[in-house]
Amino acid sequence: MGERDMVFFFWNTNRRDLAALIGQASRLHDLDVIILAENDQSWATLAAHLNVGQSPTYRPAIALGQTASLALITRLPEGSVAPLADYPGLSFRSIAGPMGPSLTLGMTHLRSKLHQGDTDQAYASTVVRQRVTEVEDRVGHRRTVLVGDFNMNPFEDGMVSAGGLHAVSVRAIAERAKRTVDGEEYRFFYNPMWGQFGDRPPRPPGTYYYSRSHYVEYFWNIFDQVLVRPELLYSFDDNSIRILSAIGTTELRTPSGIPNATSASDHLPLVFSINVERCHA
Amino acid sequence: MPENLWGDLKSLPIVRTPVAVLKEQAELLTQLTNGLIVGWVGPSPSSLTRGFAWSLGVRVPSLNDYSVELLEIDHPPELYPVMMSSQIASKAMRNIPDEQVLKDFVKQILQSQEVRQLIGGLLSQTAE
Repeated sequence: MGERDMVFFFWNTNRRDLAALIGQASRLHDLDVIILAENDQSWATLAAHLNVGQSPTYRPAIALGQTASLALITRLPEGSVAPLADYPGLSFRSIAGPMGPSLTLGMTHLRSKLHQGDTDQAYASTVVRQRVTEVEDRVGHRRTVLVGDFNMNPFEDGMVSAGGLHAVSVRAIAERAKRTVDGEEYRFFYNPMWGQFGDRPPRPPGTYYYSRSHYVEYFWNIFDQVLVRPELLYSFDDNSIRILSAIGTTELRTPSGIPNATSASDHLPLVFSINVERCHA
Repeated sequence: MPENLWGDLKSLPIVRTPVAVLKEQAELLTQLTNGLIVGWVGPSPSSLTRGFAWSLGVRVPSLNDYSVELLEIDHPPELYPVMMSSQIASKAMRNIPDEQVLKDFVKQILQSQEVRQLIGGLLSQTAE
């Protein structure tokens, strides 16, 4: 990673106290922006592990507990993060680059499959898309990255449909910026998480595992994703994405290889970076 | 003219919809704050199984149009019962049977400590 890269970390912490691991990750990966879903940890607890002999120090940029347990913590310079919108499970912040133009960070935690069906999730995605578009129209640019626990796999209707998040697996297609369906224009996201499926040891085959006695079962899922608008693709390197299976010497998976919900979370965290200076103004 | 098997449709009561109640409060907030805070109502992504879901929120033009949702409702095509929830006020009610109960619960949410604190904080920032 170049010295101007802004490093992001996302983790659905499953309401567990993982402050020590998050603090360790901040030092190991030189994190600039930490986004947590299902966070029940107080700022005092997190700060005790994040602000240990480091400068500049981390601070919360979304009041913890304010938006459906989504938390945003950064060590970016004072005044570089501005609030844009907060909805249940969906928040937007503008992040000013040190030298380059600003980008819009969208953070989401959509409802679990336990609480709604695939059709509901697909519909929910259309409203998320509308809200992304509203924010983009308001700030006057589409340098948007949307990260979070979508509770859908990259191939599901809500993620790929034009009326949903319209997140495609190939850069060259996303670079077309938009396509027209039934006379309506729909903008693309690029979803690099498609490339994270399957066995590529030592990388984990997904971010979330579940197994039921259904005829169709994926076992490993990638619900935790980062979507990038074409306007940011030049700033974004696919190789910067890592699904972490360990933080330092702490394994986040059980000996059988699935996320260890007892000692960590039932989701594995993501790290990725964006070279803000390369953003097209 | 075919035989009317529908009966008298003109006698059906036309009532105010739950979303109309929300829109009224959105407009009222805009008036009460002289436009410093603008109320809005829009489609909600949640609780969609019954078909009609709406959110009530506020937007602050002077704070880069910062927008925040206050509550959401979900109702069937026949309007009631309505389900309402507010994450910010940590309140929820299922099976709201009519407009009066709906208004009472909207009032509880809008006058909750959390919402008042939020509105106060936003108004204070517009005064800076």
